Amino acid sequence: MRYLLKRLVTTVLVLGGVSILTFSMTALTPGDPAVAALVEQTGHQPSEETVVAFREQHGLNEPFPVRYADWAIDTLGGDLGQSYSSEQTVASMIGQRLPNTVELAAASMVIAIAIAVPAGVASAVNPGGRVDYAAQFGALVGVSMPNFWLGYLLIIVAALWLDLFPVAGSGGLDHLVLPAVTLGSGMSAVIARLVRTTMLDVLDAPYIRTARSKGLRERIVVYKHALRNALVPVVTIAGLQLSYVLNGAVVVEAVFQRPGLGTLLVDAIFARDYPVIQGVTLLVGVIFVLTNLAVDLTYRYLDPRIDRRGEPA
Amino acid sequence: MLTLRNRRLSRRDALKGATAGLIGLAGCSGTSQDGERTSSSEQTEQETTFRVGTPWNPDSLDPLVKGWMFRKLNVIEPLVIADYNASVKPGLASGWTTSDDNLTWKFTLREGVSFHDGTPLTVDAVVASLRRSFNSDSLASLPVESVSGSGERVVEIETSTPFAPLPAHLTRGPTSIIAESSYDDDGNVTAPVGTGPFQFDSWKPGERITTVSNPSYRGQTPAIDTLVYESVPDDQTRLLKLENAELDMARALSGSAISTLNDRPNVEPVTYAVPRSRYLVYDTTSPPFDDRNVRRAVMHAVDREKIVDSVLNGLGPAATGPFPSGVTNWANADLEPYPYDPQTARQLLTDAGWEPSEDTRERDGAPLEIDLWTYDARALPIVSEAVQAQLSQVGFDVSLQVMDYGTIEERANSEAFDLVMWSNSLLWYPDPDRLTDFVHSENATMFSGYANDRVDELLTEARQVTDAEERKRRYDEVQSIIQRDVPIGWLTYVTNVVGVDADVTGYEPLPTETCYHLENLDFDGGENASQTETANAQHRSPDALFRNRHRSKK
Amino acid sequence: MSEDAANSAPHRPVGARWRRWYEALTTTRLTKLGAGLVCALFALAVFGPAVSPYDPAAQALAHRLEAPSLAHPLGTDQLGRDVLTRLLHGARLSLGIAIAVTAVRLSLGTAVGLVAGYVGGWVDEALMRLVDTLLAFPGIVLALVIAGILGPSLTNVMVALAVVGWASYARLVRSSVLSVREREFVTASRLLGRSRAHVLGRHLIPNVVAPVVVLATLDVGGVILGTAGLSFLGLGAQPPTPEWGTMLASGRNYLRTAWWLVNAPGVLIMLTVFGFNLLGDGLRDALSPTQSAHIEQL
Repeated sequence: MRYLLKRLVTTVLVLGGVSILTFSMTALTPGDPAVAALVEQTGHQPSEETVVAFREQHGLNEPFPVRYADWAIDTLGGDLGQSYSSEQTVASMIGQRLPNTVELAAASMVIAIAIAVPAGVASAVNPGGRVDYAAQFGALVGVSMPNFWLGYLLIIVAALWLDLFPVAGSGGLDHLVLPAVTLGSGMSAVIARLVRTTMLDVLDAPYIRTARSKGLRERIVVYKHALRNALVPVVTIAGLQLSYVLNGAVVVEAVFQRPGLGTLLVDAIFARDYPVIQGVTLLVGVIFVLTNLAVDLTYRYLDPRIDRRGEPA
Repeated sequence: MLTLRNRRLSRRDALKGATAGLIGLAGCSGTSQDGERTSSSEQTEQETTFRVGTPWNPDSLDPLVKGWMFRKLNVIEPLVIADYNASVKPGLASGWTTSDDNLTWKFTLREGVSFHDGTPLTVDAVVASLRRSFNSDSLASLPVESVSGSGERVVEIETSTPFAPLPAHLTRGPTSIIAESSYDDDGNVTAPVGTGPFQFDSWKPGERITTVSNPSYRGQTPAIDTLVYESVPDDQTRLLKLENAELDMARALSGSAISTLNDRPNVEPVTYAVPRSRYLVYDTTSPPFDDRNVRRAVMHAVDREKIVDSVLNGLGPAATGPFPSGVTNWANADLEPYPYDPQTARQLLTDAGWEPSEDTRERDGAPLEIDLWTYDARALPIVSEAVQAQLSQVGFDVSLQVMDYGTIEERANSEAFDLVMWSNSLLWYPDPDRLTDFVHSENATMFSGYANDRVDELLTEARQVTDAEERKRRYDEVQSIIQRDVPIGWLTYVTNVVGVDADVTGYEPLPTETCYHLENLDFDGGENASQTETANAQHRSPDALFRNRHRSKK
Repeated sequence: MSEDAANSAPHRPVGARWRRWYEALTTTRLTKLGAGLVCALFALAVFGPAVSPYDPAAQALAHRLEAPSLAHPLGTDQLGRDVLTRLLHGARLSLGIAIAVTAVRLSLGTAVGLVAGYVGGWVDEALMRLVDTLLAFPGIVLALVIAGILGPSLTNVMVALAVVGWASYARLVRSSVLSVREREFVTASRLLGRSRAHVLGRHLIPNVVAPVVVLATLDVGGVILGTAGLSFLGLGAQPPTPEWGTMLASGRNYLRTAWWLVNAPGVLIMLTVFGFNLLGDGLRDALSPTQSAHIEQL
C-alpha cells in the first residue's frame, strides 16, 4: 500500500515534469512561431498587424509561466489548443490519427508475439543448441535492421513482386500488414530474448522438476506447464515495448505514408506547428508513463518479491 | 463500361479475409476504415472509381484556404477559367466587359447552371460568394472596392484603380463560386457546394477527399463515378502505388519515374511543359549578392543544360527568362540567356574583389561562403546539389540546407540570407502581373529585396492599361531589366510528369496546372487499348505541343 | 552489481582486469563475430577513405546511376558519385557521431548517477525525477522534437540524441552506487577519514565501469540507428554529407531503377548495429552475469 501511494505520487510528479518539458521545448525555438504559422496558413509574408493580432489571439505575448499555466489548465480540461497550420483543434487532429497508430501498435504487437514466443521457447528447450544460436542470431539481426530499410524491402518484395499487400496508405486491414511486420520484427527480437530467459528460469523451477520426475512427457512439461507460467511476465513486459512502437511508428508511418501520430508529429515539426507538437509529445509521454505504471503494478501484483529497479522500496 | 480495376484481380483480395481474421483475433477493430475502404475501392460493374495521388495535404474544406485543391478536382468553378494557352476564358461567366475608365467590370453569368444542392446559380449567390472571397486574407491584395448585382444575369465588380489582371485573378481557387449551403451560421465551410462536374462527398482530413460525379452537370456527365483525391506525400511511394494499381493517376512524379512507367505495361507517363520555373532568389541587400557582378557570376557558373540533361532526365528545358516561350506568349523573345562560362564567372568574381585563395575566394580576408536554402519538392534538392558543386568550381563555398518552405519564407523575409532555390508557377493565375510577386519593390512575395523604380513604374502601368500589346511591351521591358540585374536567376523550366493507368484515354493536362479536368477522361478496358488510344489522344489534343506520351521503350 | 566483482575490484591487479576484458570478448563465437565486425568497421572508417581513389563529393553527371562494376563496386549515385567511397566516409562520420554521442551520454549520466547516489537526500530525489521525466518519453520521439525545433543539421541531431539518452546511465550508475555505498570497504574508507572525492574515485567508479561499458556498447548501435532514422526523416545531415541515413533517404527516389542506392547503406547500417549488439551482449554475459537482467530493463 505504501509502495502504491509512493508510486502514484511519483507518477504525478513525472507527469508534471513531462508537461513542463513538453511545453518548454517549444519555447526554445529560434524564429517567430507567429510568422511561421501565418506563412504556413496564407502562403505569403504576413503584415505586421496580422502578426500582432495573431500573437494577441494566441496569447504569445504573455510571459512563459503564465503561458504554461494557461496551457496546463486548458490541457487538463481536454483542450489542447488550435493548430497553427490548419483550422482544426489539436485534439480533433489527434483524434483522427490516434486510431491508426493504435491499430498499428496492436497489430505489430500481435506479429511480434507470434514470432517471439515460438522462437524463445525453441531456444530455451535446448539452450546453446543450434536452434538457440539461430534464434539469437535472428533476433539480433531483427533489432539491428533499420526499420525504414526493412519497410522498403517489404514494399518491393511483398507488395510489388509478390503482389500480396498494398504498397502504402491506410484503410483496410491489408494496409496494416507490412507496417506491422516492419515494426513487429524488431520488437519480436527483444521479446524472444525475454521468453528465452523466463523459460529457462521456469524450466529450472522445482515444480517443473517434479513434473519431469513424475515421468511426464517433455513436450507436455514444456508446453503445458512451463510456457504458461513463463508467459505471464512476458505479456507484461510486452507492454513496456510501447516505447519501441512509438519510436518506430514515427519512421514506419513515414515509410508507409500512413496518417498517424508519427506522421502528424513529423509534419508538425516541419511546419513548426507548436500546439500540435506539444499535444502529440504530451500524449505520447502520458501514455508511456501510465503504461509503465500499469505494468509495474501488475508485475508487483504477480510477483511481490520483484523489485524491478533496484530502488529501495 | 468496363471497370478500371476488374482486370487486375489480385491475390491481395484473396488475402484480405485471412488478414482480417488475424487482426480480428487481436481484438483490434478497424471497422470504420474498413467500411469506408470497401465503398471506395471495390466496384460493381457499373461503378468506376478513379484515385488521384498527389503530394498535397487536404486539410481544409474552405475554398478560401484550399480552394485550389477543389478547383483542380473541378468541384468548384470560378467566373473565369484558364485555357490551354495559359490565358483566360469564360467559366461561370459567359463573358465580361469593362467600363471606359476601366474601373467597373460587368460579368454576365452563364445560363442554366445549378449548384450541387440543386439551387440555381443566381446573381445573389455569386455576389455573396465573391464578397466572402474578397473579404478574406488570401485576396486582400486585390484593389476590389465592391461587388454587386445588376439585373438578372450581371455581376459588377468595381476596383479602386484600373486593374487589367482582374479576370485572371478570378480564375483562382478562392474566387470560386460556392452556394450558401456550403457554410454554417458561423461561416465555417462544412462542404464545398460548387457547380462543377464533380461534387464533394466526404473526406478524411489529411488523407483523402472523395467526390462523386454530378449527374445534373450542364455538360457531359463524367465517366468517373467516384473520384478520390489521395494525399501521398512521398514521390516514390506515389509511383509505387500507381504501379501496384492502388492509384489510377500519380501526379508530380520525378523525371526518374519515366523509365519505370515505360517498363510497366499497366501504366504510362504523360509529360507536359508548364509555365513554372526553378530559380535562385538572391538576397540583393547583403553581401556577397548585393553586387550584381557576383549574381551574374553565378549565372555563368551554373551549367543549366547539363543539369537538365542529367539530374532532371532531360525534363526542363533550361530557362532563359521567367516565362517559357513554348507555353505562353508573354515571354520576351529577345532575352539573351547567360551562357555557361566558368571563366567569365571567375573574372566577374575577381572584378568584384573576390580574389582566389587556397580552395575558395576571399575579399578583405572574408571567405566567399554562402548558404543555399531549398525545400524538398520538384527535384529542388538534387538540382541544388548540382548547383552547389558547380559553384564550388569557380570559388564559392556553398553550404546547402534543405528546410521546410514555410521556414525559408519566414527566415528569408526576416533576416539576411544568401541564396534560395525555389520553384513556382509563373502563371498560376494566367497573367504576367505575376511578375509583381517576384520583382516589385514593395508588393513582391519573393524576398530578393530588389528595388528598381523603373520596374515598379512599368508593373503599375501594365496593370492599368488593358490593351494586350501595350501590356506586353511593358512586361517585356521588365523582363529585360531583371535579366540585366538578376535579382532572380532563372535556372530551368518545369515539365510535369504524371503517371496514369494505361486504360485511361482523353487526359489533356492543362499547362497552368489549375484544373485536372478529369471529367474528360474515358476508359478503355481492352488489352490492346493503349496503342490505339495514343493516336486518338493526340488527335483530340487541343495543343499537342504541351503533351507528350513517352511510349518508346528503352 | 555482482557481489564478487564489487568486493574484489579494489584489490584486483591491473593485468588481471585486462585479461578479464579479453576473455569477455572471446568467450562465444557470436561475441567474436561482433568484435570482428566492429574492428573491421573501424578499420574501414580509418583506412578506407585513404585507399579509395574517389572524392566523396565529386560529381560526375555523365556517370549517374551506374550499376556496380569493377570501377565502382557499389555503383554510382544520382549525381555520379562513387557509392562505396561515400559509404566509407560515412562510416567515419557515423562511427564518430555514435561514439561522441555515447560518450556524452555516458559522462553526463555517470556524473548525475554518482552525485544522486552518493549525495542522496533531496538532490537524489530531484535528479531522479528528472531522469524519470526523460525516460517517460520514447527516445526517438523526444530527439525528433528537439532536433526538429533546433533545425535540421547533424550537430542538432547529435545534441538531441545526447540530451535524451543519458538518463539510463544515471539510473544504472545510481543503483550501482547505492549497492556499493554501504559495503564494508567503503564504510571503512570513510571511517579512516578519506574525503568523499577519494572514496568516489577509489571505490565507486571502478565498480560501475563494467555495467556502464556494457550499456554503452549496446547504446552505440542505438545511436547509429537513431542518427540514421532522424536523417532519414530529413532532420540530420545536409547534402553533400555522406551520412548513411541521408544516403538511404535520397536513394529511395531510385528504388525502382537503382537498387544499390538504398540497399548498400541499409546493409552497412545493419552490420554496424549488429556488430555492436553482439559485442555488447557478449560483454554483458561475460562481465556481469547477474547484472544482465538489470541492464536489459533499461
